[in-house]
Amino acid sequence: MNNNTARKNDSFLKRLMGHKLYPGIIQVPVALIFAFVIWELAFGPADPHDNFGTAMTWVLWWPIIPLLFIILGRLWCGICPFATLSDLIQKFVGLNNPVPQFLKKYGMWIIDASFIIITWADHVFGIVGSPRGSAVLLMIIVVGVVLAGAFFERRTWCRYLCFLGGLSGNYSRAGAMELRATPEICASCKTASCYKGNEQAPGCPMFEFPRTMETNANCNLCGYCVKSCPNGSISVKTRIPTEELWSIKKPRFEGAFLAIVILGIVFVQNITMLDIWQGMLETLENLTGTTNYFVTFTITFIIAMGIPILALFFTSFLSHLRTKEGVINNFARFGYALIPLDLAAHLAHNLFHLLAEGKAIFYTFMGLFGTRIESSPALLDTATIQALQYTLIFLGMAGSMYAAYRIAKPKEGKGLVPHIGFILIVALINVVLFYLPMATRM
Amino acid sequence: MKKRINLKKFICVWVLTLIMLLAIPVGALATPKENESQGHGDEQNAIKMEEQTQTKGDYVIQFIVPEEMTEGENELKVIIGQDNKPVESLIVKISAEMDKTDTSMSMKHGNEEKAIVQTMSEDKSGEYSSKIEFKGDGQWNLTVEFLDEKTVFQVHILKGGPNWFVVGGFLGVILMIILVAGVLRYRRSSGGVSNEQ
Repeated sequence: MNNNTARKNDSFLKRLMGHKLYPGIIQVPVALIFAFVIWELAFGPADPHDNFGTAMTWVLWWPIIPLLFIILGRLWCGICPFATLSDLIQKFVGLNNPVPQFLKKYGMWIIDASFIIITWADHVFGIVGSPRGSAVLLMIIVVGVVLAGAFFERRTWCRYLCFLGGLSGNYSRAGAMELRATPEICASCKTASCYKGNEQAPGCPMFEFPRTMETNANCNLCGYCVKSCPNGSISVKTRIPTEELWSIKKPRFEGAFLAIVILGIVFVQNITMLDIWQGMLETLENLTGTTNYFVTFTITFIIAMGIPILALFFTSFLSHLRTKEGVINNFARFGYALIPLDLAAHLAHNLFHLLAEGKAIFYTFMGLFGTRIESSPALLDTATIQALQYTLIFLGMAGSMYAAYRIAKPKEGKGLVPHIGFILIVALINVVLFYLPMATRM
Repeated sequence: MKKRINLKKFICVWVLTLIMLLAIPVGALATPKENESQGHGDEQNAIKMEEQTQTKGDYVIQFIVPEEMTEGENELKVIIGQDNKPVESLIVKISAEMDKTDTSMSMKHGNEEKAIVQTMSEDKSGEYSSKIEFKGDGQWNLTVEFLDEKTVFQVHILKGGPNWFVVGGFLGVILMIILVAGVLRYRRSSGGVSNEQ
């Protein structure tokens, strides 16, 4: 097969990624929009209701990002403005030092911790509800990105430190798109251009060796390996969502831990936006003797985050009685099965913001030109949004149960029942939470 | 899996780290119950509230506003009581007007200083609230009217602009990092050593 015939047989996705204008053609407009958003957050109206940056960040971008991960894997990471900034800094002043060992070893734990702290800080400092607070958060991230880009090689920030990268890594495991090398072609390769890079494109920015890559978790679909591979070994194709979850050869405890942390975070986000939250706060205030929100929320937060983690440990303990493996191993193996339910709960929560406040994006955009529109920001009525939320939770539950079943299958289904029970309980709790009326952001 | 994780050690490290991280701001910011009122239960929970109290005849009027109010929409709350009991089902009107004695404001905002009048809604027994949009910074007079009573509260509205100290601080840190990296790279390249692949 000559090169021309081979190219014709390539998928549309592969041809797109192999194009010389990709990903720059998307990176540039995304970076410009991001720059404007951060400008609006820092210098625009102080009232979130009127701030275009708030609407773009918390009503559009944050709600649709999990959807992007499930459809396109970590493609967002390839075009993310922070990554573009890191590349630029690296190009001009980058020292390209190797990544410190502690980051390689504990990067995922740093991501887990930063996710928890950001969620906590959002509630006590009101980051989402304040354009200035949102700007500060983004600027803290910019400082981290500049630091990593200036001192370390490739995209150290994206791979080892970005909290969204951790989330996207987990979610994209359940995604519908994958990039893989063809082992038969790679067997005779002596250049390893996909990792090292060549004159066609740089090496993998995420420190992956596509030749041996078996997971989507760290592939940002930047297309560099498609361009640099001299043998056309890389293929980009669609796949059944969640398929990867039961074929992970080395389940990592920290990855599974992040899955349950996200579940706890969605739980906290949901519960604090419900009308019942006021009653719960009052009870807690009476118990603790203080109305200080820092104290009451921190206590609630620790409890709300701790319950799902301890519940999964307990489930894994029950499961390990049958599988005879360590509790941690069981936790790591089955923790990944929660990802579809994580995604569903996260999407269902964000769907409320997108559909109940979606018009705010247009209203605040018009506000930039001095036109003030006072009207309901809802795109759909509450009943329709709730129906969509229940559907998502059901799909997530089915996906998680099937993933747990497939994970248990090699061991003849042993230890499956406790995890199925846990998934069912989490899904039911989410259904109840989404049934209750929720507060809006704008 | 290559390496077994020590469960005890793992839980201890995590719990300790979280407690330490969360305890710093909690300890620094904790205040006793009577000095502070609570937030609103959504993502703007951290707003601190300020209270002013006036007496008009038999009525005690508590006026509760955010401690820091900036230009734009702000939620105001009024609690009306008589003989230590909330007074329910009143028609309470609030009007907001720029303070005409504040000359700097009149110069800044020209003819914009028309009074905004709104009827407050009763949220709980004796608690009335309303959202008012303040179109300029400076001193504002808020007049609360119910039955035949009228009382004026004053609030100071801050400019809704950016905190230049914070923005400047971040820019300074970013520039410093770039500068340090640039100098180190220059030294490295002039010394003939490179880490690049």
